[in-house]
Amino acid sequence: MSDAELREKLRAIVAEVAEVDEVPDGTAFKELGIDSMMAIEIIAEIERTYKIKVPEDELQQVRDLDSVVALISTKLK
Amino acid sequence: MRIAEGLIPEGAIVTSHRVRVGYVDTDRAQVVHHGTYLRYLEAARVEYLRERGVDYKRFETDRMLALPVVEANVRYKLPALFDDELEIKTWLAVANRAKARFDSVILRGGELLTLAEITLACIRWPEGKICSMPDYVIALAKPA
Repeated sequence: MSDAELREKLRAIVAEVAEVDEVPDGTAFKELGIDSMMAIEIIAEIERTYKIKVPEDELQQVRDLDSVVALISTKLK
Repeated sequence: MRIAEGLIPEGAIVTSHRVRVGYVDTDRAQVVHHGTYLRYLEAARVEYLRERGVDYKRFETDRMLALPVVEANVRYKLPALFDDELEIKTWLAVANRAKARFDSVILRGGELLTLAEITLACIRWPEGKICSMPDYVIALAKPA
């Protein structure tokens, strides 16, 4: 899967879990109404989708789509 | 409200907790104050966890974790009255890394009074930061 494809897949997961229409690049999750609990739900859904595990201490890195892409792409390599 | 009225899902692991309505629990209209139900529901959740080996006091003091309520949905169908004996049936309807949702029905002699869905997050003390729900709590939602 290319980086662009991964980004779009993750964007779709974020949008679905957070129930938002759009997840623009560079927009903080906070601005989209995504709180810290929802961020964990997003990561949990990504874990299920890709059968990976994101350690507890890395959850705090999740702030926007870019950070999710960066975090997950390292797990998939 | 996602739970069907009075319907406990098949296979749900249910704790039954009984309380006697005290005078202090009622309001000027002589019915149980709406806020009091949250206290009953909390007690039922603590008993649910205790019955399954999770001592909530130790959960906080030993594991340095807490389960704050982040959402409460309560439907009051009929009022409870002073001295009523209530049965609160509680089960863990949803549990994942982000949250745990306890559903409850409150009954008086089998008559449905109240439906509730209470969602909890998990936080770590003393930081107060949200963290993942422990696996052993998540596992409680799954039949053995």
